[in-house]
Amino acid sequence: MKKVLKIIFVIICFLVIARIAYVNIAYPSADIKIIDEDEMFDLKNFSLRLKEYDIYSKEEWKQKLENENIELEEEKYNVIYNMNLKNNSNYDYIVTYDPSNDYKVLVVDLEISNLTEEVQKININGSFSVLTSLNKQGIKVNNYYSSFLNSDDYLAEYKPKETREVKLVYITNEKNENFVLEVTKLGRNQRMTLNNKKK
Amino acid sequence: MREIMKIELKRAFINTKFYIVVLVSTIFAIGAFFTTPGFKIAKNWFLYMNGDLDAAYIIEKCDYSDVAIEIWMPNYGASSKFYFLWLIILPLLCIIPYGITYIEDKSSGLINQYIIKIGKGKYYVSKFITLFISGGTIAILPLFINLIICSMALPFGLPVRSTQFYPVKEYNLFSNLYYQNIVVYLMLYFLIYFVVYGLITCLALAFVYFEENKYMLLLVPFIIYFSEHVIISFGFNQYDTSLLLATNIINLRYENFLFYLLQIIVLFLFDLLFFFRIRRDVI
Repeated sequence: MKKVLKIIFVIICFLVIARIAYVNIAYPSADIKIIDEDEMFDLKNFSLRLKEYDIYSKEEWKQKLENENIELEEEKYNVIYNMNLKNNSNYDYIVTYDPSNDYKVLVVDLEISNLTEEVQKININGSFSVLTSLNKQGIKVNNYYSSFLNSDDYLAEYKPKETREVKLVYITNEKNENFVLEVTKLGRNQRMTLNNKKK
Repeated sequence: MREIMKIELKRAFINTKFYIVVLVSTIFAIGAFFTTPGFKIAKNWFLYMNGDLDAAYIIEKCDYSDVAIEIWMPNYGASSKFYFLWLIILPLLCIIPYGITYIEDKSSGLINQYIIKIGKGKYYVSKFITLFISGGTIAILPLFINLIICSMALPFGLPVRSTQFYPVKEYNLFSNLYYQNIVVYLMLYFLIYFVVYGLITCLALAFVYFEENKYMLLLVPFIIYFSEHVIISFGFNQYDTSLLLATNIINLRYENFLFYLLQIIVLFLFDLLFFFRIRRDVI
């Protein structure tokens, strides 16, 4: 009886190991590919290349906006930081950074190409994340500043094989060391850590 | 010491009660897998890999590779009935195979033979260590079995915070490790469970100071464990910091870590009462 139980146990162990091996080989990869700054992100229908990026302090950003005649978001609109929402209903819209505190601005210049023969739309917030740390939620694109930095509608549909250059602005109050760009797609997880210097 | 440890470990791990506890733990681990939303995810992937069109539509719409750790039972916390029920009765399961052997040794007179052969100190230390190991092993068993089952359903990979599928936030203990080195995180997770439930099981030895009825001793760790949860949750309003809930460190916040650590230290000191009691043992 003991021998039979032992044989059953060994067979179960073997089947379990075989199944785990199969799942890890056959299923779409869940690995995260670490890519360099000069490599391209592969989004299946789109490719995404980081052309350059800039990181500004709050003061540098204000200076840049002044030079380009762009009004500060918090001066033009009555914006509210999402953490200060409680008991406050008097605002135009919600932002994910606190304009009254110190913040950092990341401007990424991306070359986005539609790789297909069809018209495609890209959901930039859904496909591509900018993180300040791997255990923190991604930062959303700041649409106010991004719309000033792009000549046309950067969210518009892409014609077949069209390539467009898009500048995206991300603002955070985090005092992080490195920004991380991340793509999480089925079988195509990719991560790029910026070294916080101009490319 | 090595000889007595070998004998005691055999007594703890090779007995019918231990096999029954393993079986019950396995039922909890399997039950937790099949009753959480994780099962739907696993089933959908299974269908997708077998060419099901509806499953393919959902997977391609979600456009993300799910990983085993995403559907692991501690992720669902109290919302998983099997997991939560297992968590509540865990001290009982831990103590059943070996917890009352000290009292049994005493009442049968076996303790005298042991002590004459190897000495008092070695006997008591081996008793304490074996119960600690036995309790800790039983505690991590279903977690491990459930992880194996999840790994049979989905590939192993790093969790990705930006997907929002994982319960660990930046304010949770070892959150950096969770998203950067899940294997080390899991080892740490198992170790914490092992230590905490090992210490909780050893309460049965400490309580021979107050109670010598073996059936009462079986209940002691459970009563203290559950009372502690009720007192801390409702008395101190620290719902997530009792040993029952916070040992699932997925929920433990950095701000509550010291309080949690304090509970473990108190537990350890209480366990040491056993070594004071034995001075009074009349052989």
